[in-house]
Amino acid sequence: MNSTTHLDAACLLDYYLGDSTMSDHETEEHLFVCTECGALLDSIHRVGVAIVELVRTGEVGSGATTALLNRMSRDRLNLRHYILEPGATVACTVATDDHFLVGRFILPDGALGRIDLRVVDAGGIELTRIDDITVDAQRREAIIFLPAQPIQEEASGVTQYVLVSPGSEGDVELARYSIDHTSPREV
Amino acid sequence: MKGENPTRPSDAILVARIEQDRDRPQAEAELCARFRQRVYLYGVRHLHSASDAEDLTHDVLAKVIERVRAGGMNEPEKLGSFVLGVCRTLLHERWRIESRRTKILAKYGDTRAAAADASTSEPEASTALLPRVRSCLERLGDRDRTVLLLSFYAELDATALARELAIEATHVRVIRHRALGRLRACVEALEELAK
Repeated sequence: MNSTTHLDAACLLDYYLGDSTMSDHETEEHLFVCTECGALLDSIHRVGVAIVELVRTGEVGSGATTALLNRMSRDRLNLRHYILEPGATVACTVATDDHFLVGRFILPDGALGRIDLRVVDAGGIELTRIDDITVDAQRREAIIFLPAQPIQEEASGVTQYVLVSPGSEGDVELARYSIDHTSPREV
Repeated sequence: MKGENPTRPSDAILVARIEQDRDRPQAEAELCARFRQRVYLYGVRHLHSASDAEDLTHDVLAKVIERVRAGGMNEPEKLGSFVLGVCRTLLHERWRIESRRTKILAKYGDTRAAAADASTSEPEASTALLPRVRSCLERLGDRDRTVLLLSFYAELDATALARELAIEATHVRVIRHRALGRLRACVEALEELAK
């Protein structure tokens, strides 16, 4: 390998994450003679640092797995957990020092394939939609974590979380869950 | 790539200017600017700590300049390889010292304090980038976002991630690479718009 043959982005990403299938020595020999690949690695690093920072400051929501939640707990992030059975309503007691709300949505029987989550307000208006949510097939649940701060600022009310199976003829509703939110300012 | 650029002297010319004390301060500043970030990223990759990587960068650049000033480079056109060699030497020295320190603490001191010290890693701030990355993460599909968070934040490798998501490790690598590509493209587009 020489400085005129660049490393591809996938290879640099694997190297950066310490998960490379090729020798680190070879990658490093190239990185120190190739300015362009050095710059590409730097841009991966900058984005990676920003991702970590956004989680640590409670600013990004996503699907989750148990490993991700464990890591957040080790970082002493405050997680407010809710386990939601289909059709159930739970009282949301988000506190001002919470970083994230974690919803564990228990899947109904027969939920297979791609599942989307629609978040709908009390008037039936869709607030957001998360496509192709991450599902733990073994535990039969989908875990979502959401930044707590925007929820803390919401007025009291019921928000519905609707799991749907998207199809060519529209969404098929799989289950509906409700969170009855009380604004911390009204407590 | 290797062609001479009049505004960017070759590595060999930089080395010659430092050795012969011709515009030495500028040449040394240029050498540092050229390699600082690559040395730092080498440190991040191996030390998993921004502050340790900063320390390593400082030590490596100081050692490289010292060696170049003293005329210690036989092949000045291979400055990059020389810098990497110094990185590896100083990294191994750090590991040796750290290993000895951990053993001493384990024998005579508080082992928990030693372990905590070794695993501390504080990301550096990237304030200008944060809102763009947040906005672009929100535009990704949930699976892409989850894989990126599990990779960068939870530090799971492809095998562990595959276990978590019940998919093949090769599939994880593809999702991870494509998701980062989409994220970077989105961030770059927002950076262009902001210019």
